[in-house]
Amino acid sequence: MQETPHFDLIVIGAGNAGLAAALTAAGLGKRVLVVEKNLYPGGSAASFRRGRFEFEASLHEIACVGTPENPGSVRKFFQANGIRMEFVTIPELFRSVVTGEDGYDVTLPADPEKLPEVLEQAVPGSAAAFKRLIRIIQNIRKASDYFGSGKQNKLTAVLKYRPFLTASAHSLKEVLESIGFSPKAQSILATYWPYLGSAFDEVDALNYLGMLGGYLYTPPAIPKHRSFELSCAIEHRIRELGGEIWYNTKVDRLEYRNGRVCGAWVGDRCIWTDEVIANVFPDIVYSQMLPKEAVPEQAVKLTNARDYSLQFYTVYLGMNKGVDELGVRDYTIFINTATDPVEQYRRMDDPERAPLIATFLNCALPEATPKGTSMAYLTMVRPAGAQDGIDAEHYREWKEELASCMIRRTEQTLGIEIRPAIEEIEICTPATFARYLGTPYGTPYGYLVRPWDGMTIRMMNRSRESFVPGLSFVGAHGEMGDGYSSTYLSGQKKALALFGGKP
Amino acid sequence: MSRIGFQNFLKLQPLREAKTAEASGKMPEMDFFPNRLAALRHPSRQFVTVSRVEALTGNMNLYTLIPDADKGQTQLAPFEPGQYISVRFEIGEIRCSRPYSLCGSPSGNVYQIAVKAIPDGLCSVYARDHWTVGTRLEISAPEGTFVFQPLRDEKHILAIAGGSGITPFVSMAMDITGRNDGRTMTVLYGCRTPRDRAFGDVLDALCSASDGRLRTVYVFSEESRPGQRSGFIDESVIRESLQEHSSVFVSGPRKMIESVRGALQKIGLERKYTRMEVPGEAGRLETYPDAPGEVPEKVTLTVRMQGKVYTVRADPQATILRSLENAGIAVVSGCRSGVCGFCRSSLRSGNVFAPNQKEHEREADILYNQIHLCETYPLTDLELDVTGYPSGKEGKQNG
Repeated sequence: MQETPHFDLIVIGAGNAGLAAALTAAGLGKRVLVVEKNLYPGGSAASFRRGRFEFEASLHEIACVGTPENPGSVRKFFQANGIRMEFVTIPELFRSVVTGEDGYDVTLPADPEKLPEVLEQAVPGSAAAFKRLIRIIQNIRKASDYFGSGKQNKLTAVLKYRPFLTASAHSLKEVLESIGFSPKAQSILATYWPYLGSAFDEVDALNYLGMLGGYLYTPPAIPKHRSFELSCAIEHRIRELGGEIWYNTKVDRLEYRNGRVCGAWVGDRCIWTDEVIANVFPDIVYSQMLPKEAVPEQAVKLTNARDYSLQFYTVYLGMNKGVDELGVRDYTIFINTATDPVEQYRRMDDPERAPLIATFLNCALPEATPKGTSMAYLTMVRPAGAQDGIDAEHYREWKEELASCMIRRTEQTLGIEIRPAIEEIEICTPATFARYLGTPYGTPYGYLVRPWDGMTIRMMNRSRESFVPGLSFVGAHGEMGDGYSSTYLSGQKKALALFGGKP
Repeated sequence: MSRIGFQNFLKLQPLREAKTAEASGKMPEMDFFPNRLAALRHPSRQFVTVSRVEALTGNMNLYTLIPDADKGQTQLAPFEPGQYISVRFEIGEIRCSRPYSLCGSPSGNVYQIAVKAIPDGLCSVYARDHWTVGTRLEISAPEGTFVFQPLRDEKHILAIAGGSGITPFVSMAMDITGRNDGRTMTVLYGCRTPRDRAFGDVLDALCSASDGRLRTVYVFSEESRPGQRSGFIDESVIRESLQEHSSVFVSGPRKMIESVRGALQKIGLERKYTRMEVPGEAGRLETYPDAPGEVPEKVTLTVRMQGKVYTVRADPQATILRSLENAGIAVVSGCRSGVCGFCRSSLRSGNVFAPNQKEHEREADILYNQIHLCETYPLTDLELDVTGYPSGKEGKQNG
């Protein structure tokens, strides 16, 4: 029997953040073990094959990639870790279609120069407010560097980064309103809210505008071979650096001794380690992997005070018609039935009116499927816990009905015919996401972002809310929220904080 | 910016503290409906007992499996007609698994599988000789996508079966005749003689009670009598059974699937209307026309599996999966036909022959030297990272 070595770091969960943490630590020469209960790396960053199609499981577009000349933080993260990754840049932010009385159909370019013209055309009189918005976004981007550097003083913060602080302190709605956008312009600019999962009047402006800036200044991008390429690249590199990854392996509980987590139990083996990083929701770890005495009441209270973010329903479609034949030009299309983003959020309760995101991969990546075919993903977002009174017995019929509704709504809104072209279809519900992600309600996101639980305030409470020595958390539930760029950076930051070193 | 300002930030920390203070200090239950549903439908493994063994024609046995209450299993995961389960075997030193289509009705807390004993077959012969009422088995959750999908498929299903490939269609036939939703099905069943017609009586009974929703056409390859079809399932037989709008599902041995695929292409049926069940265990390397001619007699596989290292001498004529299983290493596998990807493994060094990689694997897997062990052959010594089952007996360990 070989001795299991003592690890510097055990990462539980090979999601984006877990992989990024493991990669960073392995790059610093640490002995790393990643334990993943599924058979593949990546969590949401996955793909699957049906017939002649390889479907993207979750990615719409990654923020903060940028170009080789103007790299964003995600591209830099891969470069710094010796991974060459080819990205395909997406020229548009999105097309937003709102049906109904004061509806609109606007496509925003991913270009800070061109965007104001388009916005001005859609909503005359927005130009001045947009200039103010750009100043805030630029301040946020500078401030992120400043506050990330670790050397800040209060006076500089208040003098130089007032817009940043203001954006931290107010909701997106408050900020867009106050700088003079009309309701319609606010609606167009807030289109991305489902990406963050929180309502227009709840999400902190910093979080949203930081993302918008990420998309605007370092254009959104996707990898050539689905998001799974990112997961495979990191998996490969971790192993190259001497790290281990065990799939189909579940950590049953953590070993807690002398006030510190010091090991992880896998079956009848305890694997010893200096640090554990959990790419798992804190409440799952607290309630299932730790002895009661290891978890302070304050930690339990904090998780109980929070709500889970959105749950997803996605229909993956492989079609025997190309996008031209279908009559689609746009990669990402947001479909809503109300202009007011607060009302859009409310309508998540009703599948007939809930926000839909239609993504046609071939519009960004023509070679993604064989000639004469194309792929689409229709995603509906709904609040955690929306169940529609369904029971296990009628699950199949229920999910087919829901998929049928999503397809019909997309067809009607875009004036296209999808159904007769379906060659492959897969319907994923929150139960499917729960199966692969293990998160509460299968949410690919974290906790609902609230004014009292926004990005900056989470960061400020970082050390106060590190409740269990030897145990850290990374992932969409962390301080940076959900999204590819956020989760990669969340993992990277945590590993750097634990093991020293610079990004 | 008059109405807003950074001062508001000062209110947020006290608000956070108040929200936290007023929350419950009780450890959360962490019980969520979608997660419960996921656990019910996709358990990592299931324990069953054989409750009944029936001999079918053509060297087949039908096994009824019920939850093994002694192992804590009370409920079996529901399945969709056309899906399979993977059954784990321990035969002497060997640790392996085989996929079997579920051939019973999808309602009820039992599974049925039919196993045809193939001469020289490892698992099928073992099952015939050892599985009796009371035998305990460890199986996977139902897997596979060879299922009817109303948003995609036509209302008429033409099911083309060869030999023991009939099993998924028995379940589909039960499902279709049990509903009244406008779906109909024609089973085109190729077997050697009328005596080899496994499930023939079941299908005939379903047919006569189906109000015309189920039809069967038998084609016998080794017997020709007046009033019966004989020969192989070819273009003309298929044309006769096709309706104006049909989705064709095909299940059977590799050779039969290939010939039906050719016939369907001649008919000009688009891919949208044709589904092929994964065709079973890959053969020897030399059965592939494009396989390299000269290969070493033996190669060495160095395998890392969940922190342990094994070395195995392997015959390049056998898939890597088989060689590892024969050495007692319990590697995860599913369909064993290259498709499902459960046996995805990292190839660290060495050369392999992976015949259907492009059709089955993900693009990124090919880019990063990931292989599906069940359909890959070693051409040189290899170093691999593989995934094993989390528990159960492990094989001998070297090194």
